[in-house]
Amino acid sequence: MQTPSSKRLSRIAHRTVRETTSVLIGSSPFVLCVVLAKALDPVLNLPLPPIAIALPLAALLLFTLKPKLENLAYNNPSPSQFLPLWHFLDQAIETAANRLLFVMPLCFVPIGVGIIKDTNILLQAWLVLFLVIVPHTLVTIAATIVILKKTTRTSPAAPRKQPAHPSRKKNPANPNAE
Amino acid sequence: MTTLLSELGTIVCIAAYALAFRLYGRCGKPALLNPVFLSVFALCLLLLLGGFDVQTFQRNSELLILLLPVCVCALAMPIYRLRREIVRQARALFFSVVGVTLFSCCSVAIIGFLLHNTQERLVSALVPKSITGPVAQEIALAIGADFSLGGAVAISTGICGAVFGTLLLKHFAPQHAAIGGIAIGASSHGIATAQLFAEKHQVAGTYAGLAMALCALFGSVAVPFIWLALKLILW
Repeated sequence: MQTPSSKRLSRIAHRTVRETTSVLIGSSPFVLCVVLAKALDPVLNLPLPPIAIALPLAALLLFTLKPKLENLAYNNPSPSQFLPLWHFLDQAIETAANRLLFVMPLCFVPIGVGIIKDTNILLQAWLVLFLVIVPHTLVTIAATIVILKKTTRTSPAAPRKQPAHPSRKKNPANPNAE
Repeated sequence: MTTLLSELGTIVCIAAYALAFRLYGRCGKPALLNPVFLSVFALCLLLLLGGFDVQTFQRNSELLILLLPVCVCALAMPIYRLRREIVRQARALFFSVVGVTLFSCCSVAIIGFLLHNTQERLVSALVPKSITGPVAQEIALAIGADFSLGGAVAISTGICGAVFGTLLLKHFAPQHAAIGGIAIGASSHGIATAQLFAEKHQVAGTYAGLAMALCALFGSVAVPFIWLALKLILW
C-alpha cells in the first residue's frame, strides 16, 4: 500500500523522467545541427551563429512543406499510425527549445568570466571603454527603437472596421427610430 | 581549495547563476541585479581575490560553453513560429542591421580616436563591439586588433545590453516588442537576446536572435572594409 507522500514522490519522479527524456530527445536535432554547422564551417567559411540558426530553420521549413509535397506526389497524406510519433517529436522539440532558450544566459557566465584575463588593458583604458560600452550601447538601442518606431509600421495591422449591420443602420429620415 | 574551486567550474557557474536569478526575482527584477551581470561580477571578484586559476576555471566550465551553440540552434524554433510576421518586418530588419553596424563602427572609432588617438590597436578592438563574441574576435584578428580584447569588449557590450535592454524595452517600446528586439539584438547580441528569453519576452527575443545572426553575417563582411576606410580618414 502506497502512502500519499510516496505516491507524490513517485509522481514527481515519473514526471521528471518523462520531461528529461523529452528534452533529451527534443534537443538531439539541435545537437545534430551544431555538428553539421561545425562540419560545414571550413567549407562555407561563414560565422557560426547564422549557420547554427539557418540549419534547424531550414529543416523546420522542410517539415512544413513535407505533407504538401506528399499530397502532390502521391495524392495521399502521411499514414495515420505515425501521427502519435510525429506529435510526440513535435512536442519534445518544442519543450527542448523552450528549456534551452531559458538556460541560454547561464552559458554566457563562463565566457563573461574570461574578461578578467584582460584586466590590465581594461584598467588602462577604462574611460574610453566605459564610454564606448555603456552610454554608446544605450544610445544605439534607444536611437534604433525611436527611428524604427518613426519609420516603420511594425504594430500588428489594425482590424478592419466591420460594416454596420443593415438592421442597425439608422434611417436618415428618422434617426431616432429603433 | 583553490584548485577544487577551479576544477568545479561548471557547478560553480550554475550555483552562482541560480543564486543570482533567485535574488533578481526576490528583489523585484531591478536592472542592476541582472543574473548574468551579477554572477559574472561575483565570480570575477571571487577568482581575482582568491587567486584562482582562470584558465583552469574556464576549461572546467566547458560543458556550458559547448551547450551555447545548441542554445543558438534552438533560436530557430521561435523564428519558425513567427516566420510570417518576420517576413512582414524584413525591411525594418535589413535597414536596422545595416544602420546599427555602420553607426556603431563609425561612432566607436571616432570616440576612440578622440580619446585615445595614439592607440590604434585599442580602437580597432572596439570597432566590432556590436557583433556577437566569437565573430567579433575573428573580426578583431582580421583588422589587426587584440583577439582577446575584441572578445572582452563584445562580452561587456552584451552584458550592458542584458542589464539595460529590458528597461529600455519597457520605456521606449512597450507596445512594439519587435522593434525593441531588433534594436537590442543588433546592438548587444547574444547575452541580451538570451536575457530577453529568460524574462519571457518571446517576441522581442525572437527578433533579437534574428538581428544578432544577421549582424554577425553582415559585420563579418563589412567591418574590415569600414575599418579600412576609417583608418584612411582618421589616421
